[in-house]
Parts: sequence; C-alpha cells; structure tokens
Amino acid sequence: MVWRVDFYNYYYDLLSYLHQRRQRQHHYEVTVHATHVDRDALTRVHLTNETNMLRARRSRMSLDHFQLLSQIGQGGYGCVYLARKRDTGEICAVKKMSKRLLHKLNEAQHILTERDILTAAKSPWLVRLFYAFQDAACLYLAMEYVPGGDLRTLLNHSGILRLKNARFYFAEMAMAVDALHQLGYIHRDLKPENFLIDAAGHIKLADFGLSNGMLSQKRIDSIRQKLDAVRGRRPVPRSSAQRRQLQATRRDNPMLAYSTVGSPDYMAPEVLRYTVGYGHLVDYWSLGCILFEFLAGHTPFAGATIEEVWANVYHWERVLVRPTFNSPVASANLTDDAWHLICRLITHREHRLSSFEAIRQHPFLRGLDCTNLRPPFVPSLTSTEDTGYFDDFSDPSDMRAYRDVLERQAHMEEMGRDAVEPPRATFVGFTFRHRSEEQKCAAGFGGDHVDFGHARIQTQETASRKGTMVMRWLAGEASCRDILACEPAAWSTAT
Amino acid sequence: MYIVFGLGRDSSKRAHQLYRFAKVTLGPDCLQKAVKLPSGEDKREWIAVHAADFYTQTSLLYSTITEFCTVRDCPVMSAGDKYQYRWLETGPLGTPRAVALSAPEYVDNVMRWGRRVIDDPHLFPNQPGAPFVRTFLSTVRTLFKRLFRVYAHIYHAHFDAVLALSEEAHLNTSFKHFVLFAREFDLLDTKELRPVADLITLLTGTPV
Repeated sequence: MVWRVDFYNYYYDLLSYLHQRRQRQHHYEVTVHATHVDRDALTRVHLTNETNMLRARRSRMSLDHFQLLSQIGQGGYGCVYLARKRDTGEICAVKKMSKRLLHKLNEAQHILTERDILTAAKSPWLVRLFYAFQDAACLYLAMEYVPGGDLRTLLNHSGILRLKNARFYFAEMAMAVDALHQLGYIHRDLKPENFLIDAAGHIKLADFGLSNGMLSQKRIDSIRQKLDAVRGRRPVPRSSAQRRQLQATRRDNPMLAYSTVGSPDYMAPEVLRYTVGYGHLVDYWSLGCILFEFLAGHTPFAGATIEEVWANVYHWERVLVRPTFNSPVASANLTDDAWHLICRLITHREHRLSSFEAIRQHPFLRGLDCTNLRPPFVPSLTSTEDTGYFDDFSDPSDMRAYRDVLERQAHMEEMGRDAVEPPRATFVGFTFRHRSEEQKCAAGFGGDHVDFGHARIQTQETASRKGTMVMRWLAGEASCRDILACEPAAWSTAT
Repeated sequence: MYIVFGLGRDSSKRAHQLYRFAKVTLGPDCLQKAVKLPSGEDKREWIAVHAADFYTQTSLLYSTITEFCTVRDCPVMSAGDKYQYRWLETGPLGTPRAVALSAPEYVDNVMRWGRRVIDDPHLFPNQPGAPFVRTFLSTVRTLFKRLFRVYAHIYHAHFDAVLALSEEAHLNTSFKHFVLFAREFDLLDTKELRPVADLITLLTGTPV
C-alpha cells in the first residue's frame, strides 16, 4: 500500500520542517542580538518569511504554477507538455489526463499505479516524478523531462542499428526493465516508444500505466474478441523485405498508420491467451521483439493490418524466422549470438531466459561492462528546454503521423463528454510533491550528515523498514500498544 | 539484487540515524511538541496549515476502508450505538436542517465541503499578506468537528478492517496528532470527544 509511504513522508517532512524552523529561529536570534539598529524590521522580515513558507506549504498545486512551453506528446487520454514550474524554474514534462475519461474506461487504477511506481522509483533507469496534482476535471503528472526523444524516433531515423549500438541499447533496456521488476512491477506493454533517451544518451523507461498486473475487463474482452477473430486465420507468408516495406509504409503513410497503442507487435502470446497468471517474463519477450527490430529493421510479426499482426503473434512459432537482407553488411550485423539471444527471448515461457543475470551472461552481451556503458549517441541540445528530438506539434508535416491519435483523442473526448463524473474518492491519494534539492540540503542535521533527501522511503522494501522506525517513535509508546489486543505487525519486526 | 536502489546493508544504519534524529529533534513526546505554536507565528496560520493536512490524512485513511463502509453496512452515520450524527444542510427556505445520512454519504459530504472550504482563498488566504476573515476560527472548528466524526466512525465501525490492513498504527498516530492539535488550540468541544473518550485517554495519557 503506497499511501503508507506518503504517510511516513508526511511525518518526515513535518519533522524536518520543525527542525529547520528552529534553526532559522536560532539564526534570527543571534542576528538580532548582534545588531543594534532596526531590530523591529529584522523581526518583521523573519516572521513574514515564516508565514509565507507556511502558506506555500498549504497551497495546492495547479496547472497555473507551470508555464507551458510546447506540446511534446499526444496520447489517448490527453497531451504531454514541456513546462517550466514558475517558482522553482524546474523543467518538466506535464502529462494531463481527463478524470472522467479515465474513470469511464476503468483506467483510474492504472493511473494510480503509474503514480505509485513513479513516486517509489528513485532509480536512474526510471523516469522520475516531481509532482502529481489534480483539479476538478484532470489529473496531472509532472515528470522529469527526458530530452533525447524515444527509441521509436531513433529507429525511424536509423532503420537498422549497428550491432555495437544495438548491444548498448539492449543492455540498457534490460537494466531498466530489471529496475522496474525489482520494484515488484511488470510492465506488460513494452515498446520502443516507452524507452526515452536522456541528455547524456542513456535510456530511461517511462509509461508504467499497465504495470500493476490488472487489465481492465474492457481490455480483456477486446483481446478475447481479437483472438477469436484471428484463430482460424493463417499467417500470410511474407519475406523480410516485404515486412520491412510494410513497416515503413505503416510509418510513413498516415492514412495506413495505425497507432501502436493496442497493437500486439511486442506482446507475449501468454498475455493474449491467458489474461491472468503470467509473470515478469512477458517483458523479456517484448525485449526480444525490440532487439529483433533493432537488427532486422522490422518487428518480427509485422503485417499489413493489425489483424494480421494478431494472427502472426498467435502463430508465432511458424512466423518467427531469421530475417534476410539484401546487403551483406546488414546480414553480418545480425550475428549468430544475437539471433540466438532473440530466440531465447521470443520463445515459450519455459525456455525463455528468466532473469536479468541470465541475459547479462548471454554471449551476445559478453565483454560488455554493464556498469560503465558509453552511449553511442548523445543528443545535441541547445538548452534544457530543447524539444528538437520530439515531434513538432505546430508543424503540419509532423502532425500527419498523429492523425490517427488525434482522431482517437477526438473520439475519446466525445466519450468523456457524456461520461459521468467519477465518485469523489476515486483519485484520493494521487497528489505528490518531491523534495527540492534545497530542502534536502537544509534538512542535513548539523554536522551529523543525516541526509533526509536520501533517507526518504525509496521502495516498498524500505517503506516497511523505515515505516517501522517512524511508527516506533511516533506511536510506539506503551499507551498506544495497550489499546491493541494484538501485537501490531509494524512493531513485531522492530529490533 | 537491490544494489541498484542502494538498499544494501547500510539501510538499517540509515534508519538508525533517522531514529536518532527524531529523538534529538523532538524527544520522546514528539507529537505533543510538534503541535506547539512556533515562536512569533500567527495562530491562525498554524491552524490553517494543519487543517489542510488533517483533511488530507482523514481522506486518505478513509479511502482505504471505503469498500467496507457502504450504504448497506453503515446505513446511519454513527460512532457506536449511542452516537449518531446528522448532516446540517440548508433547507429550501434557507433554514438549516439536520438530515440523517448513511456513513458513506455523510463522509462524502464532509470531504466535498472540506475541500471547498480549504480551497476558498477567502477563508484560507493563500496569497502573501492576505488577511484571515473573522469567521475563520468558527469554520475551522466545524471542520475539526466533522473530521473528528470521520475518525470516530472508523474506530467504531471499521477497526476490524483497519487491523486486517495493518493500518492501526497509522490511524492511531494520525488521530493522536489530530486530538493533540485540537486540544492545544481548543478546536473541539469536550462533549464531542465522548464516543472515543477512553481511546483518547489511552493515546494521549491525559483524560478527556
């Protein structure tokens, strides 16, 4: 239960506020004592500052606190903006989502999951959350802005990746996915779009909306329907060149483009077949598909229509073949080791590589120092708010590719209009505020090097341990213990 | 496995540092000290920030047990058999009238009303220098009374669920903090405390 983390954090924050306030008071007293002129003015300034800080603590965050710089993304539930927080100057990506729509599509739980993962994640592999807030109509996630664009854009520009680069991105993707797994979540919908490239060229995983392992009933039904439709359908035999061509067409022709939202290109068949009871291995299948795409220039199950893709994944054993190339260079680029790894990932669950360690030790990654990876590409950015690696939403030619998404969006908005207002309690607990660097430093305790910033609860694992500590000193007095008939679990593990 | 997250052996050490920090900062009776008005601060400012915090805490705590608190299971907003609460609303002629509501409806009203009040810059001024209105304290007293009833209902009707969720320590802490704060600034009538008087005595060490 992630709200507990918020609960502990609240008391950490209260404690550090009181401590800092006492320090400021002390500082003020020393200053007043030392001066002989205008003590009243000094007192006024000190007290006004304190009062303003209290008001700031109480203020609810709203979109007004951000200056929207440009639109950088468009999804089913709303838009993503590049924005600057007015008071701190922080640059972030603000994702805006309609509450009514989320509620109507049973996605409320998913968005709360995403928020929970984002707040728990302090990993360099996962996009960080700065703020989560809401108003009457929308939810907002203000996240770390990752300026290098996503892997989809990179692939669109480069076609086939050189082996060396494919190794780098694959290794980093695997580590990012492992970081998510360590938090206890499974992504289940990995695709190149979810991997962003940061300013230094490293990978960060974003978009965790589906990770809690609970598909909504609507989605299960739609998957069932699609499966029933393709069951009798035989996969169309196609050459690598044809598949490459199909994928390029799909990419370039907006009339034929279908959104990869809901496309099963990277989805493990067990997700399609059993909607419950699969594990983190589904993410390894997706990684295999992405590695295939890196080296082949098309996804392993590319088809002319989305139905064909469904049928191809369903009959994956017959469809998956080693791609062929016209150029000998491209052909040599797909080494036997790489193909072997792909086949150990795109395979039955029982045969699939089952841990990050197993992937790391595969010959394909042999010799790669995973602790010290050098990015092959470093985005050249002019400033912290450079959006050069994202599509330009004011440029019609860039926007053609979004036609489908925008139509979907219009359709969704239509749905949202007649959707009922969600119950008040639906999004309770969504709000979140990260501690600024400044607060972190200020919270350091004298010369004792207690760093509150790092001491904050980081994952579910520490949540229980730190929580125990918080509860011990907050409520762990005998009087409190007495009222409980049983020994509370929180204390039984306390040393 | 957890090296990525820095959760190696040293995390218990960090927890120990925190514990020490907490002790040094506030001493054993930390909540009692934490509610005190800081030197030179405007009482209303201190109350305003806590009112907003307690609102958030009760709404979070209640949200964890909403599936047990239904119109069917809790048809009347109450704290045990002896205490039933009614919601005061404005009737068609502008006169106030008390209506009996189920617990989920009552709590929903409390939370909607509370949100509106706390978000109203007239009542809870948020701009630097904006003054408090004369009715501020009476509004806050109403807010505290209503939030108190939510706590009282959870204790009387849903403590089983709270135990099942291992949330009792959180609930106790939050409630103790709330009561200590209300006591410090006289925000709750003593008669309001009756349904959970024994609990308050146990939690705070001082009889109601």
